[in-house]
Amino acid sequence: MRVEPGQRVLRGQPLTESSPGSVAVWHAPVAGSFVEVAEHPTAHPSGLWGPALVIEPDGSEDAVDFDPVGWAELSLPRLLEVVESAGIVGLGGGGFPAWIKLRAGQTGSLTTLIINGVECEPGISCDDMLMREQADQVVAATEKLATLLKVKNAYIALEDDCPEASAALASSIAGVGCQPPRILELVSLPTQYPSGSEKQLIENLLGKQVPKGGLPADIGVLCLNVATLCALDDAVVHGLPLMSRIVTVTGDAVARPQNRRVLLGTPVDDLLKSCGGLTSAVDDLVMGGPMMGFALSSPQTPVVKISNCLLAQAAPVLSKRKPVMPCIRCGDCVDVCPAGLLPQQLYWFAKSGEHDKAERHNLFDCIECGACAYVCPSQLPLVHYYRAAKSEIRSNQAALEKSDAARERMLARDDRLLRREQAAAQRRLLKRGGRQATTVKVKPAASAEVEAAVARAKLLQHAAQTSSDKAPAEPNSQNPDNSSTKEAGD
Amino acid sequence: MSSAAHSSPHLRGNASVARVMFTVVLALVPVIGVYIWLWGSAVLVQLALAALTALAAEAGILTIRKLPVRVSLQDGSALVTGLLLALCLPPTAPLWVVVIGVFFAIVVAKHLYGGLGYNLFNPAMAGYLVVLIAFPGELTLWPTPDLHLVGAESVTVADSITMATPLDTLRSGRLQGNPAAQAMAASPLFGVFPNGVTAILALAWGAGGLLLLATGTIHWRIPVALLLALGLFAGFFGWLNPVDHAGWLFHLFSGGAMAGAFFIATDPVSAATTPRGQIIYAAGIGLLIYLIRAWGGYPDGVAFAVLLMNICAPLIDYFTIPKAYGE
Repeated sequence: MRVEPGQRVLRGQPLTESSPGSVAVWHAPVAGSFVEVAEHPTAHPSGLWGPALVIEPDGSEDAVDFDPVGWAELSLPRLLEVVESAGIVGLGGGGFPAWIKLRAGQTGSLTTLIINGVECEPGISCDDMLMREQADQVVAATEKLATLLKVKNAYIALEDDCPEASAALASSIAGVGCQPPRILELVSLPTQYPSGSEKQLIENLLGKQVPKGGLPADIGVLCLNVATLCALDDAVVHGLPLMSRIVTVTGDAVARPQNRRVLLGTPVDDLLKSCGGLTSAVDDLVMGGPMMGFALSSPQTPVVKISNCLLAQAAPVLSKRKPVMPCIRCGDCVDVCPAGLLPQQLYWFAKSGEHDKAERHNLFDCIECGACAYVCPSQLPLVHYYRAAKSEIRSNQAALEKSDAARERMLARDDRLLRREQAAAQRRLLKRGGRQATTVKVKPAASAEVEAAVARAKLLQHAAQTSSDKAPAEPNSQNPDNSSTKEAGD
Repeated sequence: MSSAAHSSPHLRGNASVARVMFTVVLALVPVIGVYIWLWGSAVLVQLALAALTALAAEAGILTIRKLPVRVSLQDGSALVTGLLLALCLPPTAPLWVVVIGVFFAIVVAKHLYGGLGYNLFNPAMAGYLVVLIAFPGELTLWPTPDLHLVGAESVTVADSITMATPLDTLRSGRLQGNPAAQAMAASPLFGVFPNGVTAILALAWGAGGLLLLATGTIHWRIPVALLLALGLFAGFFGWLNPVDHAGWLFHLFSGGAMAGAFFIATDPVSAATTPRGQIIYAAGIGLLIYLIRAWGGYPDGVAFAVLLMNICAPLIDYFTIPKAYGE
């Protein structure tokens, strides 16, 4: 916290510190009085309340002095500082801190910069709108960033259902040009969910896959959302921190669906009112798209950096559920799975608790895009099953780690007690001055030590087996087996 | 707004099991049409009886199993099983044979194995094999179609009411060194021999299959791999020993090859489910069909081949897990 309750804040004033991990700085989007830190509905799938900074706007435009660096003076380390202090995170919906992502540039191994203008979900058009309105900025910033990162190729990718954005970008590219031998290309991709997802976009564009467990930088690629790029450009050129974003307000219950540039922290309720309010009852207000968005627990939830879309679908459309039928293994889900998984098999394993098989079938590669559930003729809530299985496996693993740690603690304690006892015995013997007796007495203690060491080795071997066996055997994982601990303790 | 938040995905498509099943019924229309054209509208009685038996058996067993009856009847899966089984039977098959076959398919092969989505074996084929083995006399002879309708007047055999299928002829002909069988094998399509009938039927099954492909109800992998494997083996042995073996064209267009490729082997519940696995599974069926036809005890082997590969499906799936993204 950099401010105190009751203090006046100016537009653009940093309110919080950036943590070394991944928490971005928040800036005051308006001038006004900082009231308090209060419990407030948060933009999180859990629907929980959490601490929020409350600002009472005073309607003035008073802002802090923005201190732009400019592209000309910029080095990569300086850019990272600028982006971090501007609080810029991935605006496509991921929210990953952009300065951490840009660190990939420091390795010098980047060859390709991809500016992602492919909407992440059906029905969202905030990136489309941005590219139409700020095409010149997009192209210029792409060019500058590509130069700074020294990449060979730069692509601006968008979907083939955005002709206006495409035309605007094309004419900007023609105007700006690019520094040879680098190429700057506008690529139009088929509109097919979930091609806006980073890994899928890279595959569609370059025909290469990001290695499992790796990052795009591993294949020389840096991928930035187009809105993130513009925020970065604003920070460099105008010194502006991230204070607003474009939000698609849509759904057939919205009176006037539209894209709006919204100040961060605006309650969703106010945003809806500015779009004419709701025309009919809704089951859920969804933040994010219809496939991966989450239902809000309150209309007082603020717009945050990842809020690319606010969806208010009239009740019957959104949550209409046909009867759930058994899986007929038709495989339609296999054909649409962007992660190359077998959703029908994962469903089977998730349902029956066969976690080892689920992991063998790469459950943790599931990105929960929902494509499988969308095409499922049996209307199975597949993603829900996967989420449940994932969390169960994670908690089992946590329990196993906990019991391992407990076991080690126990062994260490036994060791300690044994050593203490031996030392005491030795002291006693030394006091008596019986040299002969010492050797006799110590021997059994030493053999006990050997025994303990053997037992420890066995346990470690056992632990290594269970952990290398990725999915622990059922009884082991559910009721941590401590019989061996007891043995060692005896 | 509800307090309990729903989680994503919030959007669902329109696909349903019922839509899948009724598309299959629709794709059977060409075949049913050809049946009526060849053997008269009495075929409809058989089909209706099979459908009714299937629905009644399904309703009965669902009631016994204390499962919701209406939703499951509406999914159309029992109807498809009944119709497919009836279309395997000769139009002259006694009606009680139809009832026994369909009853076994629904009650034993489908529901005793767990019902829709759980059955190991293709229910229609299991039911068909039960009656084929139990009542071979009733099931091996097909009535001679009214060939005037087909326009092949020269082949009318006035005094016969039943005829052997081309595969029967081929089998007994080969065993006896019959030159007629060889002549038939040499001119399989629309030739002088009445096996033109089976070719027409095969084309009707194929037309229905194309509809299934066009509507995305089935994937190309299973039919293509099955027909390719069958055609390759038939072609190879036909080339190796043209005296005893009919050519690939004959094998693809006779018996249950087309029906099997598009309607039977594609039953998703009992087939392999991984993309590579489906190709192996279907190629296995194609190979087995040929082995049974050429050296087995039955003239046609589609049903046996399908059931044998049904057993292998889980194993095939186990060994053909596709690579995940980035692997």
